[in-house]
Amino acid sequence: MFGQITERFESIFRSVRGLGKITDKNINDTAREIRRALLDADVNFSVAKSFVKTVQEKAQGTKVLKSIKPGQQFVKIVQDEMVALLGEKVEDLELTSKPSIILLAGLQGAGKTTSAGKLANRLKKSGKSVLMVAADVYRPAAVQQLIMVGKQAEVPVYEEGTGDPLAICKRGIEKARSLKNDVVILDTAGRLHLDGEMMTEIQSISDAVNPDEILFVADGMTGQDAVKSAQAFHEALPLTGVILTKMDGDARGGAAVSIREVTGKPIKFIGTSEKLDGLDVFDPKRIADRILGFGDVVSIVEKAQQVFDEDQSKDFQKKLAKNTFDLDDFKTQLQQMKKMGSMSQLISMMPGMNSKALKQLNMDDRQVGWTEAIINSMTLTERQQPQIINGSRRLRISKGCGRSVQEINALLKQFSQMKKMMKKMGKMKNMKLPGMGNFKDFN
Amino acid sequence: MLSKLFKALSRSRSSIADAFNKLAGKRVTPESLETLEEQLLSADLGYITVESILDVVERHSKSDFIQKVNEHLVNLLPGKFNPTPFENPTILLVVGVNGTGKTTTAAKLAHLYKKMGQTVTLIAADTYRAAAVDQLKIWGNRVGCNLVCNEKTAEPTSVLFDGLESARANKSDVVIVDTAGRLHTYSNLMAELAKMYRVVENRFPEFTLRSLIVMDASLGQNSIIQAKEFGKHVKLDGAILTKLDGTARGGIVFPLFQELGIPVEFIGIGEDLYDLEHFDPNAYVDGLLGLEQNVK
Repeated sequence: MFGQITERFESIFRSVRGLGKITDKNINDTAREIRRALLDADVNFSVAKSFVKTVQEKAQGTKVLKSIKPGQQFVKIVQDEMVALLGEKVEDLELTSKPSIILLAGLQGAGKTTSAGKLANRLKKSGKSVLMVAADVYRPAAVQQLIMVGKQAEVPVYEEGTGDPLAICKRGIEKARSLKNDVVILDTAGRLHLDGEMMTEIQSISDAVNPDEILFVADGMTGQDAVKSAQAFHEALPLTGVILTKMDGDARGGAAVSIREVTGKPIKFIGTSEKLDGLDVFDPKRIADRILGFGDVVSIVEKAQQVFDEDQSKDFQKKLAKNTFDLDDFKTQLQQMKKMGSMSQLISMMPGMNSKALKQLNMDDRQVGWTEAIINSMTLTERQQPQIINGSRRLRISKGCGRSVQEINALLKQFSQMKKMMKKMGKMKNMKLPGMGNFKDFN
Repeated sequence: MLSKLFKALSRSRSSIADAFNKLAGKRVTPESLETLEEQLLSADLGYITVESILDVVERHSKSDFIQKVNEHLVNLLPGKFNPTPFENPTILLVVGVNGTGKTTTAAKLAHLYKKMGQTVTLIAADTYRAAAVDQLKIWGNRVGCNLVCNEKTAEPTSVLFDGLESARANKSDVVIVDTAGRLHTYSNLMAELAKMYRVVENRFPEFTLRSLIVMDASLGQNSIIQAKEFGKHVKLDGAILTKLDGTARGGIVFPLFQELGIPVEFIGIGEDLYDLEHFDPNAYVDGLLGLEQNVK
């Protein structure tokens, strides 16, 4: 996430951190660099301008302070300002009425229908009963798409095929009332903010059904135009928040900063994969840290906590301490890590992991599967005592899993190195993330 | 045709034109330059292109710099594109990230070539997104061309294979392949695209293969990174810039051609089948800058 802007900030900060004192000249130089970095990341030019100005003013203020590391101070200012820009705190949905109504609005191709499915899935998991309403009667097969998304999420969909979107929404809500649903999600057609007729249509829907939440769905990759479209939707509808989609790509951040600044509405969720559970709560602090290259350790730990089996982890730690860790345990660890998401996604959250060098590592998520396949092709004894794996065993394993002998050699070598390392680490307590230190082993 | 693009771009052109007019005939000050810079940046031209424009303005501040800027920008763009009927059977592989308008664009292309009298086959190779095939089917009906799909498989290459066999059998002149949207950061999805490319090269050598990347005008500088990544897996022959009917002006066409050498061939300016125009650098720059003299 945010690969490019992070890279730039990292290099800016590297030069700034070394500064003995902050002078007008290096403030201005750095400010220009920051502006350039923000613009390259599609932050709106006026937002970038005011951001740089604030940072400059605050930095000039600190100049007189007798700070030991003025460079660090500068970094802190930038970081604080970025968090402030993204909106200090995490904001959740506010669903009070029954049924609560969520209206989704946005441009074509922003990802409204997919987001509707993700949102429904999320609410359903939190124990709410949800109904989706297909109010996009314009785009060919849009209704069909929502029906299919509904099937995947196991959430019912109210649809009439074609007709008047307002009437469909009204009848959908009636339906939800009779079914005693907790939440109704209205999936509307994508529309251009310039299209007066279509904007009037969504206004009339909003006025008639009085939604609890009106979420503007925006593509996270949007450029300078983000400001204009967000502004137009913001003026037409009483927005309550924003969903930023397609945030699993790279080099973005601009849209998040710009939309938040222009609408003043919180970004509530970000779309992080094409899968149904790929919707994360937007946390300004974490995203700011990610943009600035400080990594997002909190997210990793949280993800780990969600998927790691506590008993297994304890068991694993015991084995670590005794150094009886074998290839089977290694496999279990791999499987648990796989549950956390793709390797590349995890890597992108690691502090300092966005530099060019790491990009060149070119993480291939299939690697984990291959490693698993190699271990699966070993006998139980081999897994427990890898030292017995001789040439002919290697050949057999290679045939079994379809990977080359070299790859098996590499795995065994890595494993023995890892055991050595574990021996040292076994003495350390509170290892929160077993196996986490071995990313490069999968390369 | 010209005026429709002009109208589309002109919705916010006035601000660039205003900034230029403010500069005209006066001494160029840092403030007036900054206003101009901001207006140019807001069109997603990218930092490098904007810098080069400011440079032109400064060098020609005493003469008619608007004309100079106009020439400068036209020079940075590919020449005018003129679609002609294909003599060899040709495959147009339509690729891009999610939500840029690939399916709609595929249908528009089918419509365009059918009107030229060519036999067109549409292949629905987006097996991933829910109802993508249904969407293309509806378009296929509207265009009235041969459409190949297979909802029983999730393997796009197999649909492509069937589609090309069908196109071979009915002697299609143009085959338009609608692929699934994919983010360039997923190496497995990119590899899938490369596989489709290989299948055509190995099994259907009589077809000329052209890949066209569909880019959403409202997306910013990330589009360049997208194109770069896609280009690593398939040879990109051209680009189609969609959604120019909004307020976005799609300035990414400059870095796209300057840095990657990918020419824009078509632009999408609406939701109807005929809302696909050939790219004309003069018309585009005129619309962008708000220069009226070339508009009839």
